[in-house]
Amino acid sequence: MRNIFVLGIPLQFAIVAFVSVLLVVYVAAMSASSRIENRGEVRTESIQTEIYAWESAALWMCPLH
Amino acid sequence: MIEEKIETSDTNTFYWHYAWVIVVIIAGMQIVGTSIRMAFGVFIDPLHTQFGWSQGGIGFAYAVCSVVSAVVSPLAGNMGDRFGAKKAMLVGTFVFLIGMLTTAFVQNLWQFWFTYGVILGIAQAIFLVPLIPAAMIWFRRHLGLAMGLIMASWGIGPALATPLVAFMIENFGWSAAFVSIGIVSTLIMLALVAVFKNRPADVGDNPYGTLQNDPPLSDKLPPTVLLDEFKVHMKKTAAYWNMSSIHFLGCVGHAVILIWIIPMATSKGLSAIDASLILTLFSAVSIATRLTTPILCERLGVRTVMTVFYILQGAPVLLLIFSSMDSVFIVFAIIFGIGYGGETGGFPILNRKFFGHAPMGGAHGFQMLGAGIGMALGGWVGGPVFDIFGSYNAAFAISILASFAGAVSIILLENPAKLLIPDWQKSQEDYERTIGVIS
Repeated sequence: MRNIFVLGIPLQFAIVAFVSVLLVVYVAAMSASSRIENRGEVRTESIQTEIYAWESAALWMCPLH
Repeated sequence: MIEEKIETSDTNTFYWHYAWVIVVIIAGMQIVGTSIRMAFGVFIDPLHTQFGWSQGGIGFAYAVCSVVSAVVSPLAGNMGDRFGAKKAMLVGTFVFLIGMLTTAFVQNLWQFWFTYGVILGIAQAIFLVPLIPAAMIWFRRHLGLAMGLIMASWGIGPALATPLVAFMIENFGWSAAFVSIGIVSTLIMLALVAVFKNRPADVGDNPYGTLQNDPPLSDKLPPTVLLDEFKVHMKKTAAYWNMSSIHFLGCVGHAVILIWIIPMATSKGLSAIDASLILTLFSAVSIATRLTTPILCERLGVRTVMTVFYILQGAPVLLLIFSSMDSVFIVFAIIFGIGYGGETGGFPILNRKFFGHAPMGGAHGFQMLGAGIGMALGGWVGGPVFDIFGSYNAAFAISILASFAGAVSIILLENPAKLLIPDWQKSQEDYERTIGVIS
């Protein structure tokens, strides 16, 4: 495994980078989703919940949220 | 004169050499320069109280600082290779002063992200990254002992700074703490830079531990063309990349703890001072393993020693998840301190074994890129995890997984018994002969 290169990058390095990016995207989206829900609970149904740009971006990047 | 010194080094393991002054300077720079970053946890509550900023928002400044420092690290490493560490340290010290003074007067969260995150992040990369490669130039042998002393200073910084900063915040406020620490730290760092020398030849000497039969090493800054050529070869080795990802995993493992142990402990009823003592305790314990790890790596094998310390860094975090007793913090701090202290110490030895006496600024900078991103991720992840679950357990689980993944990655590294680029020194000699520097 140590000598397998993908696009000039060792596979071991690529796996660590890929999993880390997935983790960041998932946690950020989960956090955004949770924050939006919490804000929604304290507002009346007639007022639309405000969504910040980073929250929209996090939710857009994560296919699971 | 140099001949006489070589004879001395032939017979004695330890002898007077300016290399030890360099070790003290580098240790001093690290103690002073990293203290404010390592004591970040004690700023979270005062900033939250004064401005009402969220924990995630405050923690984000630490993440920005780590990311910026990480991104600038390869540049800082190459700067050290090309211009010498002394100039880099001088520039970094002035940027540090600007960062500290501006942070003291922030009123908005974005200002805090910029001054603490961006300016101090740049400063730390510039004055810290070239230090380890600079020390490596001074040691032909006994590099492990030198690195051990330097690494130990990383533990002394937070062990001294955290209670000091906590005391200053409690009595004078966080703003005054930033101003006074900034000014005093800058004066100390300028004094250290003044007596720093880039290479042994600057004091008319050979690297420490040079023996009579050793082939000579270049006593000049390497030419740019050779630096660029060497970097191309280095990037073709798996070790160059994997050491960076291993450093990343190790840093994720301890950054979660460094940043979130104090808020976690206070949420379980401990006072701020008692909680900061946990950080002080594991920082103090880590000094012993920081000192001994590079020496152990030279004697017992780098990969074996590093693997053990990565496991020791990850395993005790399980105690924080599965035990609610107050006394568990002490047991945790001792075992974690051992692993945390040993996590970093093997990298300079691995660099020497993989790349010999080649200029290591670029490689070290790339490893610090991995480390910095790891610190950023570890520092950041606790905030959103707490916002979601109201607990830090998931962040601690990430810390454990990262440390264990790092241990597995170390096992998969190349055997460091032989140089990966064996002809580097020969290339430099040939080049210098071509341009008539040596005959």
